[in-house]
Amino acid sequence: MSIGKAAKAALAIIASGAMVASMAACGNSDSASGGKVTLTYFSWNNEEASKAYVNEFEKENPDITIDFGSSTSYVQTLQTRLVGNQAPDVFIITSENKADLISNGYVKDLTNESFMKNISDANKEFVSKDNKVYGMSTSSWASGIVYNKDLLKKVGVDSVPTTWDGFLALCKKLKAAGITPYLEANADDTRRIQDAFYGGILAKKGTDLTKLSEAKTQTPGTDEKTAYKAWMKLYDQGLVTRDTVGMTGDDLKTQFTGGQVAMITDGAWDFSTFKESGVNWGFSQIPAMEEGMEQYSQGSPSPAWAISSKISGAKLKAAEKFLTFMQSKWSLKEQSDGGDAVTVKGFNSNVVDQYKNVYEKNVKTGKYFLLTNFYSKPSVLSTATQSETQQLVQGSITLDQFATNVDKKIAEAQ
Amino acid sequence: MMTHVMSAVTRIKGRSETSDPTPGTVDEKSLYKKRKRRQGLRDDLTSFWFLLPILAVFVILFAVPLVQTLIYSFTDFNGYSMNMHYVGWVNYQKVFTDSSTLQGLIFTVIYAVLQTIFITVIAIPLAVTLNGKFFGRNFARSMFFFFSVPSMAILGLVWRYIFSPMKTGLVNSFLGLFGIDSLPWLSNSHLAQGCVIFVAVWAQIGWHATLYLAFLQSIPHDLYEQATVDGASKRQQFVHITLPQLVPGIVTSTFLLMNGGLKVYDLPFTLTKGGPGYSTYTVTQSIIQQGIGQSQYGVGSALAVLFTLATAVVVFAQMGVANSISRRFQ
Repeated sequence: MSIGKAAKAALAIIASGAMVASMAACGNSDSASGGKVTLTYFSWNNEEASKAYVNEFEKENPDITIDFGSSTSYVQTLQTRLVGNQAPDVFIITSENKADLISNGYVKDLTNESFMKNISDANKEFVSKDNKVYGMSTSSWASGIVYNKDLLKKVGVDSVPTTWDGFLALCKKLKAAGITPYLEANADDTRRIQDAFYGGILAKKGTDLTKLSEAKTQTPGTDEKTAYKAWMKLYDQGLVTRDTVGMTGDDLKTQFTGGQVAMITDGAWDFSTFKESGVNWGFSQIPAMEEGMEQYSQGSPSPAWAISSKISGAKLKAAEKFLTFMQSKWSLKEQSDGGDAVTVKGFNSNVVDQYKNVYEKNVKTGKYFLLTNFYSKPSVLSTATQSETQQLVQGSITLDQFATNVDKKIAEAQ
Repeated sequence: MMTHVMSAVTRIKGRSETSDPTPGTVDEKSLYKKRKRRQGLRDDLTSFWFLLPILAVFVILFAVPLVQTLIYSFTDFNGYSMNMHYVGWVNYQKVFTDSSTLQGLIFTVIYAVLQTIFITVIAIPLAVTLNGKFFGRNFARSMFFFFSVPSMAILGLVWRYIFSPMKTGLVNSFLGLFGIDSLPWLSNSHLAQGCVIFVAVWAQIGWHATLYLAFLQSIPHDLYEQATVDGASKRQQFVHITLPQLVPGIVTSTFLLMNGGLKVYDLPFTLTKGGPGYSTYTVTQSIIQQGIGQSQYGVGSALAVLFTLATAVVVFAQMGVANSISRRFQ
């Protein structure tokens, strides 16, 4: 072997050695070292939003170090890590991935854990299967009707009616006065009213929501048809422009803050925009579909913390400590200050005045519903209903066709 | 010094005399062939080492995923469990019976064909104009080229505001100045399709005009001078000199446009999200949505395999037609 070849071979060996060593170091990164446990935590929120919790937890638990990670494409990244046997110890379970995470056995059953004691029933139901709870969700969100008080006052009304017929009558009145009564974002945010109506229907029937995703033949389109029929009165009676199929949530905000529309559907995440706009605004519950029905809202528990089913021993204990910490008073106050509507029993979030009514009547009581939370293949359902809703509003398909098409999509995906 | 050079020449001469004999007898001929083959192998090996990096990139980033996609297309792989099962042609059947995918395929083909035609028809005269002499020529060239600099995704978001169907949308506000009613740009299926194609054409004309400009500048000027002396009009010069000379440029440009058009994703997604309904839905959006977004890797993979084959057929057919046209003008 010439010197050149020998040198190249040596270099190759050194490089390979360095690679193997670094890979070995990666493999050991989440193991205990020097009595300290390293817990890998993969979050839905970015580092900026999670930093305070991680720092405080490490301060309270000096024997545990958090190896934090997050991604803008959270669901796909977590999926890749799980399939590649690189599961984080603690991660987020959400409506998009909960069915797959539970059915593939990636998440630990948390039903009897002490930290689950104060979690509200609606939040538990969100991540349950066969009476077992797989995640800890501490807050929820609910959408409602954001209204311009000054525009409503012009037609002698000071609040949003509590029934759908009353709401339609108000829209007529506003339209007659030359005011655009209501807009919704059918380009990217369909189903706010429809989900609220459907939640009310299911509550009246006393349906067990956790069973919906287990039904062999799933018919979300047909199931929601009554709710859609009531909602379509907005368009059938010519109260709202069909151009909403091209409107996004951002478009709605621009219209509302510019004082060009009296009412829109939105939620707490946009309250800061309304506050800054100077518009005299209020936030109301979504009207009940019929007299005698409860006023449900489109809403959902927030994504929950889950523990990997693959960990045990000191790591599992550390993970349980972390979840206990995430529902501690300090942590809940931090979440509340950050704008989350906390639903843990015994804790009250300090929400803005406009949100108080919806927080008390919908969020804390669990009177909210999100269709995609309770059917398998939520992403398929979400995409299908959005496209079919747009066609329904355009008038290119009938309500029966809408239902058939949505059900067919779900059947194909199962 | 001279001695060194002479001896080197002698060495080379001597080597060439012994290593490269003029083939005469049968033995010499076979020896010659063997040496030639060995030399060829040595050359091939050298080329191989040069090609190895790009070959490795091709295998790792293209061939392996392609084979994986082919395998997944016959399984029920859901992205969460490697415990997948062979399902035969089920995923392929789903592709052909899914109405949204078929609608996506129709719009993708319309988009690819129309953008190719419009851009080619507009970019060539534009390039001819930009090739002429006028005040501010360099500025005009830069301006048209810069349209293509921002990513299509960003352009989609910007044009979303311009084509907003509300009265406050930029185009509708402008129409309002003349008392014209607002138009449902992005909320009417046909108008939305038109908007997507319009933005694609607007954004890519400059780049393709620049491509044609490069080809125009390589046309010998004396051809035009002779044509002028012969009394040919500007139109005749364009038809009989410029266009035939631009054929290689047209082949390149249309190939890029068709290929890019069939794979389009970013512009329709940011401008209309594939809506209203499925009117601006594309095949690539369907592959990404079904495969990754909805964890139906089997169906997404089957669609990707079929689309790769369809794209290959279209592109090879286009290359065949373009080559035959090229030969006619040679």
